[in-house]
Amino acid sequence: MRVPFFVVCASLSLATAAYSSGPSPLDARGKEIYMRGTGAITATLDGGVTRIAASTLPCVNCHGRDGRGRAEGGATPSDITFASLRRAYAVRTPSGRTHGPYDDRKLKRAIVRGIDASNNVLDPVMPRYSMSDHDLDALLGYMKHLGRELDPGVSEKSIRLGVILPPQTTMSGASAETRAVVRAWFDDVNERGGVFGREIELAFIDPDGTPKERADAVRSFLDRSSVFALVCSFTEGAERELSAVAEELQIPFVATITSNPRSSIAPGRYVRELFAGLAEQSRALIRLAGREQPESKRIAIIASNIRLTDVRDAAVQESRDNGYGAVDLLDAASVDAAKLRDAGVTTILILDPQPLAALLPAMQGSDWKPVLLVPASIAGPDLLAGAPATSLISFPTLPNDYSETSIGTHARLIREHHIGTTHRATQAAALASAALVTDALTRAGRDLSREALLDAIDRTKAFRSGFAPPLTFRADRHLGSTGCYIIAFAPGQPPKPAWVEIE
Amino acid sequence: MRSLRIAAAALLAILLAPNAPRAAEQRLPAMNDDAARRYFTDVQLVNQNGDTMRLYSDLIEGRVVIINSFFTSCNGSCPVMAAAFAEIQKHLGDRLGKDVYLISISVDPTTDTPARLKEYASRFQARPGWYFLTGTKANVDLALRKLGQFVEDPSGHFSIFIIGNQRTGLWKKAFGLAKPGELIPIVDSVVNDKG
Repeated sequence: MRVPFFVVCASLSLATAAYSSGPSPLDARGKEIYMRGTGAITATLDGGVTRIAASTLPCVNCHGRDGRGRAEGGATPSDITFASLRRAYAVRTPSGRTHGPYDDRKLKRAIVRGIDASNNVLDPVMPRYSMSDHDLDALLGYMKHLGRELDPGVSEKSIRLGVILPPQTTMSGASAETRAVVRAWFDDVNERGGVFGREIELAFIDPDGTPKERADAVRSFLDRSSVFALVCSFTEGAERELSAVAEELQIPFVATITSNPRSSIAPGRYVRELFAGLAEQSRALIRLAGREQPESKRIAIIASNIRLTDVRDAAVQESRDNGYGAVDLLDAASVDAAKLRDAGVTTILILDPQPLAALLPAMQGSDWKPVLLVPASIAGPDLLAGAPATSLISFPTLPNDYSETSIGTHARLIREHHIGTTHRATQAAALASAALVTDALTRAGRDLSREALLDAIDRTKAFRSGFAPPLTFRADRHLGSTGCYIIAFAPGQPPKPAWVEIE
Repeated sequence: MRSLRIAAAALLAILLAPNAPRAAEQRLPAMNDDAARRYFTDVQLVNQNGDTMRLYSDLIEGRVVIINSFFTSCNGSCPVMAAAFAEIQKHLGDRLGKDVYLISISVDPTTDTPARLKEYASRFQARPGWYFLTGTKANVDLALRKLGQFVEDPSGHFSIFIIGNQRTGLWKKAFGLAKPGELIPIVDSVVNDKG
């Protein structure tokens, strides 16, 4: 039978209308069940009797936000999108079962009793769920949207990205230049046609105050404006608090920039950070110094900031692993150069610059010349290049990471958009983030979701942004660059650079 | 007997090697003494209650053990394996904690603190005798290597149960995502083994 063309068009437009009208309140409960398994729902294994809260085994764990399923640990979950379950022909699942199309009754039976549309027993990995009829209806309703519901901040025409700038009050220059250069980069992307035809929209926020105030400001910004992901963002000094907001709201917080990333200490599901921070740099410094020092060596670690406890712990562990016989932990107030000298300290890791004012003069004219290990964000070469002893200074990135093309691009953006040039390094870090995000959005594909973006980031191998060292991410590696440059400044010798990789 | 005991440790190493077939069994000459202790070592791990446990002396010696590896942030197969352990726990009844232990070792010890393991254990209604283990990364890595369960990347963990009767020397491997109804007879065959 021929179906008139206008009927087809009308059906298509009805389907589109149903989809774009969004989920009903019942579907919202269905989404809650699918994503979190909350409420009075229990799961049992095939033939099992132990009831486990479904919140431990929610659908999304195996089938994914888009319902397509991802293989993990020997399990290959089925594609449970509406289109796949309703196919009018026999479908062969990854585990080898063949089944016909599901209707609502058969789908409920699969969820509750583990029987597929053709009366086969489902794979034993799929639990059987016990829930009320109301919840089952809600879940089925939501499953009809699976893989078709667009994440917040994405439409057919645009992707809205949020950018947390350095605080306007304390870093107004860096804040303004970052805003301008990120805007200029994505203007370029939009001029080339956007990403799969979607224009990139940007929403900026430059919160200041205490870490909690900054986090609160970002939470209310995210509640107000529908943002797909936070990118090119500076989290310095509020890493924990801002990451917690991203985790709570389940929003990708991608390629953030800080001197104290948390990803190698406490990786988050939604947070990906760009450069090696104080923990990685401290470890690299200790490792390099440890290689070049004699057998009997003793290290003093000076850290006063309570936010650096994890960094200090990582440094202690690395010192032990590198044969330091004794490790002294000091805060800035308790540093006494004479005591350190008498104790035979051979190496000092400086995570608080304040004691340098007393340490450097004490070393002058003395035969006590401990090696100073200093991340550049704590104290730079300007302070240490003339030190009376060897100092090793670490940098997560240096200008020699810039490619010729990227230098050209950056210069053009500055020229065309009249951007200031006082904070070039800050701009370069923001551009490294922007380049990675642009690449990942492209690789995530047209069916963009937050999950697809994070997947794309986690499949990034040695990405050359032209503004940073090569960036590599994996499911278990949320920090893009884990090594750093270390430049040795020794009295009377030219500076000697090295790259030390931590992973 | 020294050479036989060393041979027993070697056979155990072969069975537990990661590339051994995932369903396999091996009867070893009884090695209830120094050889087994030397093979497994008494590397120290920490359980969900914060107590230190030695791998051989406190966990394996003289017992039947059912061992898997997992990590608490795993969203795929780990909770399913834990649910299977919960079924085995139910089946074992009051033998659990006496002559049979369930042992789940984290492949992500840095993240999986004892407190985190305790919360995870409560989700599966774990009773005394089901130990969730963490520890320093070096110690946990050594224990996992001894059991053929070491992986560089936690998400690449194995979905294998190792079921061993140290008294009789019978060791088996089973696929951890099989039906409890298929796993329990394998567990029983090792638990009830008379040598």
